[in-house]
Amino acid sequence: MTGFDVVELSRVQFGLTAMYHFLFVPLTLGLSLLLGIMESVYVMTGREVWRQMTKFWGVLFGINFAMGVATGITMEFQFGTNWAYYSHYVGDVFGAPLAIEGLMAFFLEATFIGLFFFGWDKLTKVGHLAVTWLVALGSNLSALWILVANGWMQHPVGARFNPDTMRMEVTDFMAVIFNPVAQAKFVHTVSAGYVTGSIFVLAISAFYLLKGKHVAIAKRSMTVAASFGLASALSVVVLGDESGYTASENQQMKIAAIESAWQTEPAPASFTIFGLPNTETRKTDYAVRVPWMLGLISTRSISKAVPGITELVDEAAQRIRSGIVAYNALEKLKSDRTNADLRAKLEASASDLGYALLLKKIRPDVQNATDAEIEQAAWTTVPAVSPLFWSFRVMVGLGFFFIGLFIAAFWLATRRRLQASRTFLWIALCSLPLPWLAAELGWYVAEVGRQPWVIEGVLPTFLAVSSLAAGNVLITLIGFVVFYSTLLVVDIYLMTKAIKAGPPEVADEPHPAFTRLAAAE
Amino acid sequence: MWINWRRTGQWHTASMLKNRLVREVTVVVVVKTIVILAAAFFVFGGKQRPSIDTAAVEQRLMAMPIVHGSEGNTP
Repeated sequence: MTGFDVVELSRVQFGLTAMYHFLFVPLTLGLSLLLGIMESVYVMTGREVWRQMTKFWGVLFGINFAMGVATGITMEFQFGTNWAYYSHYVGDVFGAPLAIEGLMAFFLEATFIGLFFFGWDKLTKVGHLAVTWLVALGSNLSALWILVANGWMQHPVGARFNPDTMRMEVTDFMAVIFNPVAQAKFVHTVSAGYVTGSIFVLAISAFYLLKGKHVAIAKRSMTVAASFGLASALSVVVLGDESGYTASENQQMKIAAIESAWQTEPAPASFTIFGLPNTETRKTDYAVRVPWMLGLISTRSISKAVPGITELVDEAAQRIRSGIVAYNALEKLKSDRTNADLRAKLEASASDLGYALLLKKIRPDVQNATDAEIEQAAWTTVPAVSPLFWSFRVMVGLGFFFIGLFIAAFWLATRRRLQASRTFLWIALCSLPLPWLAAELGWYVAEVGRQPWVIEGVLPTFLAVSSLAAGNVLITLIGFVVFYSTLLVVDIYLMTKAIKAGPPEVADEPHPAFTRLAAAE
Repeated sequence: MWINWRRTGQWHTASMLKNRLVREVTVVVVVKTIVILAAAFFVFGGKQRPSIDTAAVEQRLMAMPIVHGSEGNTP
C-alpha cells in the first residue's frame, strides 16, 4: 500500500514526462528554422561567418534534438502501459496521427539530420541548405501531428461511439485533421517554439558579447534572433488569442476556470487582470477588472455573455441526466444487441454518454443516481481554478515581455548598438529560462484545464487509466524522475560545454558591399 | 547533384575513416537492438501490457465499482 491513488500517480507520471519532453521540443522547433535562415544567408552571400554560425548552433540543436527524441518515445509507450483503456477507447482516432507522425516526421528528420551533420563537405551548398530546411520541416510536421492528436482530445470531432466495439471510431478523418482547435494549437505552439529558439540564440549571443568573445558570430546571431523572434513573439500572442477563442467555443468550462468567472459575465464581459479565486465562497476576491476585454477576447463581440462556472455546472448536470438515458440504453444493449429502439435511443444521446460516466466515481449503478449525486458529479467538471487563473496570467505576461525584449533587440540591432548596450545584454541573458517557463505553463493550462476529461466530454480521466497497482506506478514514476533528471543534467552539461567551447573565431569583416561603398565615399 | 564526390579528396584517409565509421555504426546498431529487444521483452512486451478488449472496456465502463484507494481499479 502506498497511500497514493493510481489515477493521480499515472497523471503525475505522464505530466512529468510530458513536461520534461517539452523542455527540448520548443528549442528544436525554433533552432531548426533559425538554422535554415542562417544557412540561407550563407548560401546567398557565400560568407564563411554564416557557415560557421550555422554549424555552431547546429551542434546545440543536435544535442537538444537527441534528448527530445529520447524523452518523447517513452510517452508513446505510456499510452499502452498506463492508459490502456484510453488506448482502446479512442485508439482508432488517436493512433492515426501518432502513426503518421512516426512515418512522416520522424523518418524525415532521422534521414536528413544525419546529412545535416555529416554532409557539410559532401553536399553542394544548395543541397545542404535543402537538407537543413527538410530537418526544420520534419520537426514542424512532427508537432503538427501530435497537436492534431492533442486537439482531438480537447475537441473530439469526426468520430462516433460504436456500442459493438465499445470504442470511438473515425467517421471523418478530414474533420480530425482540420479540427480548428488542433490547427490553432499547432500554430500557437510552433510560434512559441520559435520564440524559445530566438531567446536561446539571443541569450547565448549576449553572453558572448558580454565576454567580448566570438563577436562576429554573436552579433549576427542576435540580429537574426531579434527579427525572427519579434515576428514569432507577435504571432504567439495573436495565435494564442485564436487558440483561446476556439476554446471559448468548445471548452467553455476551461475558459471560465481560467477567468475565475464563477457567475455568467453579462455582455460586454470584463476581464479579470488580478484577483484571488476563492473556491469556498465561489467568488474572486480583490478582483481588478478591465471592461469589455473578456467579451472581445473570447467571443469577438460586445454583445455576447461569457458563461460562468455555476451556469456551466448546471448545463453539465443536464448533460449527465441525458447521458444516463444513453447509459441505460447501452446497458440493455448488452443483452439485446439487435434492438433497433435501444440503438436509436443510445444514438440520440450518445454525445452525453461521457457525462453519465462521471457518476462512476460516485456510485457504480449510474442509473440510480440521485439529484444530489448528479449535482456532485456536475461539480467535478470544474478544473482547478486558482492554478489555472495564475498560470494563464504568468504565461500571457511573459508573452508580452518577449515582445518588448525583441522590440528592444531589433531596435538595437538596426542601429548596430547591440554590443554597446550591456544592460540589454544582461536582460537578454537572464531571460534564457523564461520561454520554457511560459511553454510549460501553457501546457499546464491546456491539460489541467481539460480535467476531469481525458477526452473532453467523452471519457473521464479516471476511467482511462490501466488496471495497475499504485506501487508499480510509483516505482516507475521514481525511475522516470531519476532517469530524466540524469538526462537533463547530461543535456545541460553538453550544452554548457559546447557553449563554452564556442564557435571558431571568424574575422568581423563588413560585407564587401559596405567596403565598396566606404571606398567610393 | 547534391553529393559532390570530388570534395572527398584524400582517398586513403577517407577509406580509413569509412572503416572506422562502419565499425562504430555496427556497434551502435547492435547495442541499440539489444536494448530495444530487452525493453520489449522485460518492459513493453505483450505480456507486460494490460490486455484490453471490448469485454474489458465494457466491464470497466458498465460495471466498475467506485474508484477509491491506492490499489488498481481492476473490476
